[in-house]
Amino acid sequence: MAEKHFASKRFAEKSQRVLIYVILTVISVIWLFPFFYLIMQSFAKVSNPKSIFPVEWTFDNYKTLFTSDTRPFLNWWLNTFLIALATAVLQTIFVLATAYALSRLRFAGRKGLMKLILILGMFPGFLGMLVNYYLLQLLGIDGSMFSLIIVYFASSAMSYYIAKGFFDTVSRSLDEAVMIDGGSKNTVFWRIILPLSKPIIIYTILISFTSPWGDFMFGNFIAGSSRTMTSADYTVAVGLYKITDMSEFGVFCAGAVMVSIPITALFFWLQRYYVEGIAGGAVKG
Amino acid sequence: MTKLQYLSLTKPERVLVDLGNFFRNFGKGILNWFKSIPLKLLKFWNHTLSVPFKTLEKAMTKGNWWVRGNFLVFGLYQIFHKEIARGILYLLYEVVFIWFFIRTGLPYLQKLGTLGTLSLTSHYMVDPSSGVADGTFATGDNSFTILLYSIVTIFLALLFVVLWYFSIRDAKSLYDNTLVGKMSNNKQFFKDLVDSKYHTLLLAVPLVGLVAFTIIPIIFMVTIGFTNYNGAERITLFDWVGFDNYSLLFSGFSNGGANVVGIFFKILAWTLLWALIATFTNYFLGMVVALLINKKGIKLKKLWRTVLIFTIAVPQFVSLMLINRMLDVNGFLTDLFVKFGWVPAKVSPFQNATLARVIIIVINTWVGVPYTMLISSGILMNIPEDLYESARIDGASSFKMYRSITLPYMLFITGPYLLSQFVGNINNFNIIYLLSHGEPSFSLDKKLGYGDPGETDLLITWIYKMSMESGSTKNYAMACVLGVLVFLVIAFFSLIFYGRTGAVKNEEDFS
Amino acid sequence: MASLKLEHIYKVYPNGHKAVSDFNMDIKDGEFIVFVGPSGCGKSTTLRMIAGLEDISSGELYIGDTLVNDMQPKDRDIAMVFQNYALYPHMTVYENMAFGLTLRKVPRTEIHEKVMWAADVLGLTDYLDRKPKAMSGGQRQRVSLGRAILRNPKVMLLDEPLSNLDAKLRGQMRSMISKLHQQLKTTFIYVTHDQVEAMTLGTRVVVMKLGRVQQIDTPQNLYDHPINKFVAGFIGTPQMNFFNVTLQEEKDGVYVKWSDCEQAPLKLSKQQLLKAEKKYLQGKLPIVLGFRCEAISAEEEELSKGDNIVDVTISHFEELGNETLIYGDLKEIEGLGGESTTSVIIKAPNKLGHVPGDVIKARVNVEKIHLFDAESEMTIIPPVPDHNVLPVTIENEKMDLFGVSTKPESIPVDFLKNGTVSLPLDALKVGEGEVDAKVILVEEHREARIALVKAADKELFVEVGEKVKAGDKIKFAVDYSRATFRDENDKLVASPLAERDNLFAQFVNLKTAFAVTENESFNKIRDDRVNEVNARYEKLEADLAAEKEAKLAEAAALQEQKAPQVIEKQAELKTKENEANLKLKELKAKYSRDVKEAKAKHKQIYKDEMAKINEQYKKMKEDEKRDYKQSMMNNRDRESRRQRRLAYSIFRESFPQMKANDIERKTNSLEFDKETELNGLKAHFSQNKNFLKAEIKGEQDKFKEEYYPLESASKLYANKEKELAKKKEDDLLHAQLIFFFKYETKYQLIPDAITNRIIQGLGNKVFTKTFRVEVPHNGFKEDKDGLEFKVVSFVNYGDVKMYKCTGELFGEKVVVYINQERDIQLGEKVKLIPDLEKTQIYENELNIRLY
Repeated sequence: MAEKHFASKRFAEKSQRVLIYVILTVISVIWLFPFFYLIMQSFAKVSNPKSIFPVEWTFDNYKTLFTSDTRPFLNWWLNTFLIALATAVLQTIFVLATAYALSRLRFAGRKGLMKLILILGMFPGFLGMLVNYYLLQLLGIDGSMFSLIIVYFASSAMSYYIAKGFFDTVSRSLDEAVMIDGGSKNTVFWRIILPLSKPIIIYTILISFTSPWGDFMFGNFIAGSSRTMTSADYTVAVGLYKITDMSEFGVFCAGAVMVSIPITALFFWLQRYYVEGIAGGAVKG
Repeated sequence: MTKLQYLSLTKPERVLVDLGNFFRNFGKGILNWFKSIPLKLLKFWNHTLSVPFKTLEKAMTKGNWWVRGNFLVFGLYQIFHKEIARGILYLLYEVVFIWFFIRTGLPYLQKLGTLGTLSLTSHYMVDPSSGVADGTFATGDNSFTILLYSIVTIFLALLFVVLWYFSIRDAKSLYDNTLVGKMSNNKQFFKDLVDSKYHTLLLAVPLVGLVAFTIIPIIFMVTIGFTNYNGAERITLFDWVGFDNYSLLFSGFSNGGANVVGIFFKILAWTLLWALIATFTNYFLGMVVALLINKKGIKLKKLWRTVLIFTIAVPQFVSLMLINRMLDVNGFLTDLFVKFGWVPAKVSPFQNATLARVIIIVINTWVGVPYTMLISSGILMNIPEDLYESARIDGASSFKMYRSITLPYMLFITGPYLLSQFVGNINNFNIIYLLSHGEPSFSLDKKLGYGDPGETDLLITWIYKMSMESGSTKNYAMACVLGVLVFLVIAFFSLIFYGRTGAVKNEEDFS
Repeated sequence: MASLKLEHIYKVYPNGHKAVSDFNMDIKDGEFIVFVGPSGCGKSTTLRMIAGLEDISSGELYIGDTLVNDMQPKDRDIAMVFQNYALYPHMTVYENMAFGLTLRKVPRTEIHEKVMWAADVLGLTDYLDRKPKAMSGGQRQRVSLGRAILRNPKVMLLDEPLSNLDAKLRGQMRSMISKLHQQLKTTFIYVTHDQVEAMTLGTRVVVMKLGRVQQIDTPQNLYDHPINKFVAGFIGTPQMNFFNVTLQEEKDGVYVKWSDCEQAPLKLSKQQLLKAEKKYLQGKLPIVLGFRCEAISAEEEELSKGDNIVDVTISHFEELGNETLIYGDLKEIEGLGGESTTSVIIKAPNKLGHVPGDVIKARVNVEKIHLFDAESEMTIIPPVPDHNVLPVTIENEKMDLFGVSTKPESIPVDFLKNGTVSLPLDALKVGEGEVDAKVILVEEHREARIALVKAADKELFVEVGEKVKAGDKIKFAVDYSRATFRDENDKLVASPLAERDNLFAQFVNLKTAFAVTENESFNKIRDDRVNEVNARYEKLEADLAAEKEAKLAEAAALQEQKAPQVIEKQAELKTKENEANLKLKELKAKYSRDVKEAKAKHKQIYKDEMAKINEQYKKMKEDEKRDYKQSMMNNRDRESRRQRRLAYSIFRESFPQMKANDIERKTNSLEFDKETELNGLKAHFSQNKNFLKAEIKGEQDKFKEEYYPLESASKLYANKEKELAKKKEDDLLHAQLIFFFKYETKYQLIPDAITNRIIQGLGNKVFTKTFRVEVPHNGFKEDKDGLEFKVVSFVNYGDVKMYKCTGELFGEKVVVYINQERDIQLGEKVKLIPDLEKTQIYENELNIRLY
C-alpha cells in the first residue's frame, strides 16, 4: 500500500512540475517574441510587417544606418554615448553624496529635506521642462544636446532612496571606530563606506547610464524648439522616434537592434548588482 | 466592541467592521488634526517663530559694535574675528545678490504686476541683410521671462534674508565664545567642513541643482496656472487671470462649447482605474511568476530569470515603439487581431476605446512583470525557511501556505513599494504616449480645444498634449492647472497610505 | 598609562531626562574598573562620554591631568573595543589593526613591527591575511582587541565585548582580557550587564541604576557589604534570598520575626545590630532580610547546632556538578498571597538524599545575613553609620545626655519625655570639648576609622584619628546645631539648622560689571594681571634672544671651519646616492622576477590540482556506474533493485554538486596560499625599499647638519620664537577673562579655578543662567563692600555660637547664620561676602553641581 501512495504523490509532483515548465516556456515565448520579430524585420529588404520572416534577407538596412545622412545613426549613437557617460559619472556622485549625508549624518533639517524631496516627486516632471530650457538659455548653454546632461543630473538628488536604503544597513559602530582611530567623517566615507558599497555604486552607475538612452521627451522638445540643431545632433531616442512612416520600418528595426545590443550586454554583465539593488532597494521601499 | 466579540464575527462582518473603523478613525483623525491646529500654532510661535527675533534683539543689545556691523555688512564680525573663510562666503553672497537685484531683478519685478505692457511688433529681430530672423529677441516685454526672472529674484531675496539672519546669529555666538575665552580660527572652519559639518559639503551642490532645476520650475508651473498663457509662442504678453482657469475646468464649457468638466472627470476616472489595475496586475502576476520560478523542484532557474530580465535590459522606449509599430494599422499584431475577428480589417486597434485600454494594460504587464518578478524573488529568497517548515508540520497545503505566509509577508515588505508603484503609474507617460498616443479621441460634437485628449489619455498625457504639442489647441496655463491637480490627487493617496504603512515611520528600526 | 578623574559628570538630554547624574570617581593608573548595572542605567553612556562619542552636559573629565571635555575622541589617546567588534569588513586583519596607525602617518616599518607584536600577543599571527568574515567570533574579538592595543592608549575602554560570544568562549576571552591587563598595565574601563564578569575582572566595580551610582567598591566588599537591596540582589548568582521581616529587641538579643512565613524567629546578637538605629528594633518598621544560598545549609553538622532552624518544602533541584542548588519554599501564613516572599535557594554539596516535595530542616547562619529598610531599601547596619540615635529627656532647662548638663538655650525644646536625639557623626568632634568617654572598640574602614565609645551611660560611634586605641579615654564636643530631636512616637520636635545658606547670583563679565559700577578697582585687577603676563614674557623673550644669539654665532663659526671639506664631502655623498639608486633598481628587478616566478609556480600547482580532482571524480563516477550495472545484473529481487536504482539516481544528482564544492574549496586554499606569498614578497620588497630610502635621507641630513649648521639652527629658533609669541597671545587673552558673581547690586570676583569649572560646564550659555551659591556657616567673611545684613539674634549651640542675620536679595528676605570670632551686638549692620572656596555652586534650573 505504501508504495502506491508513494508513487501517486511522486506522480502528482511530477505532473505539477511539467505544468509549470509548460507555463514558463509559454511566458518566455511571449516575452521574447517581439525582440525576435524585431531582429527578423531588421533584415527584411521590403518591409512587410505582417509576416514574421522577411521575404528577402538583406543587410542594407544596417548599411543605410551608417551611410545615409538623413539618418546619421553613428552620430546619434556617439552623442547619446557621451551624454550617458557624463550623466552616469555626475549623477552617481550626486546620488551617493545625498544618500550618504541623509543616511549616516545627523543634522538639523534632515527629516524636513527628505519630506521635501518626497513631495517634489509627486509633481509631474516635464511641465518644468519649458522652464529648464529657459534657465539653460539664461546660462547660455541651450540648444545643444549637452544641455541634456545638466537636466538629467541636476536634480538627481531626488533618486537617493535606494542608495540610502543600502547605506542604512552598514552598522554605525564603524563610524565610531574610525572616529576613535583618528579619522574624520570624510575618511569614513571614502575609506570605509565606499569600498563596502560596491554593489550599490554599480547599480547607480548602471541606472544613470541607461536612463539617458531611454529618454526622448526632453530631447524631442529641445530638438523641436532650437533652430540650430541638425539631425546629426539628435540622440538615438529622438532619431528613432522621428522614423515614423512604416516604409522605413526595416531601418527603424536595424537602429533599434544596434541600440539594444550594447545596453543589453552591459546589463547582463552587471546583472547580479542590478538584482541586488532592486531587491535590496524595494525591501526598503 | 471588545476584541472577543470582534473575533466571534464571521469574515464578511469583520471586513465591514474594519471598514467602519477605517472611515471613523479617518474622520476622527482629520477632526483632532484640525482641533490641534491652534495648539500647534502657539507652540510653533514661541518655539520656532519668535526665536529669530529674540536672537536679533540680543545681538543688537549685547553684541559689540562689530557684531552690530553685521546687520549691514554680512560676515563683518567673522572676518574681524579671524574666521575669514566664513566671513567672505557671507559677504560674497551679499555682493552678488545686490548686483543681480539692481541689474536684472528689480526691472522685472516692477513689471510683475502687469506682466509686461509693451507689446512686440515682431517676434525676432529681423536681420536687415538676409531678411531672416537672426534668433535674437526684439526688445519689448515678454511676460514669460518677466515671470521667470521675478520668481528667481524673489527666491534669491528670501535666501538673502535667511543668510542675513544666519550671519548675525553666527556672529553673536562667536562673540559669546570670545567672552568665555573659547577662540576659534580659520583652520577650524575647514577642519569642521570635513568632519562635523561634512553634510554641508556633501549636500551643497546637489541642493543647488535641486532648487534650480526642480523647485523653481514647480513654483513657475503653479504660478502659470493663474495666467492665460497658452504657450503658442514664447514671446507674447499674457496677464493674470486669477482662478478663472480652475473655475473653467470645474464648471464652464470651453470656448469650443465642449463640456470640459465631463472630459476632465472621465480622464481622471480612467487615470485612477488605470493606476489601480496596472499596479495590481503587475504585482500579482510578477509574484506568481516569481513563485513558479523559485519553486523547489524547478531546474534552469537562471534561464527563466534571464529571459525575463531581457525585457528590462532592452531600453523601454525601444520595445514600446516596436510594439506601437506592431499595432499599426497594418502591423503584425493588428493582422492577428483581424484573423481572430476582434477588430474589423484596415482599422487601427486603437479606434475602439475598450480594446485600446485592454491592449495597454496587457502591454504594461508585458513591460512591468519582469521588474516585479525580480523584486518578489528577491524577497521570497529571504523569507525565513522555518516559517514554511512549521506550516508544513501543521499540515498546511501549498495554497494555504501561500495565503497565510507568503502573501502577508510580501504585502508587509512591499507596502511602500506598492504605493510608489501606484504613484508611478498615475504619472506613467511612456506607455500611453508611445502606444496609443491617447487614441481614440473623444467622439464629440463640439470642438474641445484643450489639446484634444483621447479616451485612453491619462491626465499626464493630456497635460503633455496641451503644453508641448504644437497646434492651435495648445494651452500651457490649463496644463499647469492640471499638473497641480495631479499633485493633489497623488498627495491625497500618499497621505492615506503613508500614514498607515509603518515602513516610513519606523525607518530608524530598519537600519 | 594614566589616571582618570570624573567630577560631577551629568548627561542631560534636551528633553530634560538625566541619563547620568552627578557621577564622581577617581580612577588610579592601571586599575580595572567595571561599570555594571541593568540595561538603561547609563553605564554605556558614561563610557561613551569618556570616549568622547557623546558630549558631557556638565562636569569635568580629566585623563591623566589634562581636561578632555571638549577634545575630539582621536586626541584623547583612548582606544575602544565595541560590542559588535566594529571591524572593517573589506580590510584584512593586518589592515584592520594597522588602520589607526596609517591614519596617524606612522612609518610603514614601525607599523609592521607593532602589528606583528600585537598579533603574537593575541595569537593571531597566522590569520593576518584573512578577512573578518572568514573568522570566528572569538578571533574577531581578538582582532578588535589587537586594534585597540596598537594605539597603546592611556585608557582602554571595552563596551560589553563578550556579550556576543558563547559561554565557553566567554570564559576564555575573560582570562585573555585580564592577562592582557596584567601585561599592559593600562587603565581598563569595562562595561557589562553580566555580574559574573564584573566580579571576576574588576579591581573595583561601579554598580549603577537609573543613571545614579549605587556603590563603588571591590567585588568582595560588594558581595559582603551591599549598601542597598538593589546591589545585594544584582551581585552574586544565584540571586540573594529576600524575606519580609520585622526586628524586635529583647533582653538576650534581637529577634527576627517572619512577616510572611510561619517560622520560628531567628535570634541575632545585639553586637551585630549596634550600628542600626533603635527605631528599627521596635518590631514596627518593615525590614527586608537577605541571605545568600551559602548562608543557609541543610547539612547535618550545621543542623546539629540547633539554633535558627527553618523548615523548607523542596520544589526542585538544580545540579551544577560540583554543587546542587535546592529550590524550596518556607511554610506560608495562609491567606496572605500577593507580595509574600517565601521561595528560598539552598546550596548543598549534593541532593542530600532528598526528593522534591520533602519538608527538610535548614539552619540560617545569622553572621552572614543582611538587613535592609523595606521602604528606602538601604542597609540598616552600614559599615560606617552616618549618625547616632540616643534616648534623651529634657526638663526645666536640664538635659540628661552625656551626664546631665544645662541645655543650650538655642534648642527650642523645653520639655521632652524619653524622646530621641540624632547626632550626625561629623557633629561630634573628638579631641576638644568637655564630654569624656571611654573607647570600647575601634573599627578600621576604607572611608574612615570609627570607634564605639561609652559616655556616661550611652554608647555611640565617633570618628577617631590614627592613634586612638581600645581602652583610651577621649574627650569630644557636640555641635547641637546639627541635632534633630524627636518625641517617643517619632514625631519631629526640633530640626537641625540647614548646613548651608543659599545665595542666588548671576555670572557677569568684567565689561558689564565695570559698566554698571564704574568701580576702578575692577579694571585695576585686569591691568595688574595683564602687566604681570607681559613682564613674564618679556623675560622669556629676552632669554630666548640671548640663547639664539650665542647658538647662531657658534654655528657660523663651525660652518667656516668646515667650508674647505664641503666640496669633497659633497662628492662623497653623490657617489653614495648613485650607489643606493643602483641597489634600488636591482631590488626592483629581483622583486618583479620573484613575482613572475611565484605566479607561474602557482598557476602550475593549480593546473595539477585540478587535473588530480577531475581524475579522481572521473574514476569515482566509473566505479559507481560499473557497480550499479553489476548489482542490476545479478540481483533479481525487485525491492533491492529499486533501492539500488534510487541510490544511483541520488548519486548522479549530487555528483556535480560534490565535485563543484571540492573544486571550490581547493581553489580557495590555493588562491589563499598564492595571495599570502605575493603579500610576503611585496612586504619584503617595500621594507627593503624604505630601508634604502631612509639610509640615503639619513646621509643627506647628516651632511646638511654637519656642513650647514647655520641654516638648521636659525630655522629651529624661528619656530621657537613663533611658538612663544603664540603662547603669549593665549595667556594675555586668558588673563583678561575676569568674571564676577552679581548679587543684585554687589559684585564679587570669582577666582580662576572656579570660573574655568563653571565655563567648562555651561559654555557660552553661562550668562543666561542663575546660580545657587550654598555657603556653610563658617563660610562668610566681613568685607567693606559686601552684602548688607542686619544681625537679628544670637543663637548659642553649646560650644558653637551663631548669629542669625537677615538681609534683602532680589526682593526676598534671606536668613543667614554666621559664626564669627568677634562678638557682635544685636541689631548691628554687618557687610558679608561668601568665601567661594568653601561654597558649593549649583546651576539652579537643572540643579547641576558645578563646584
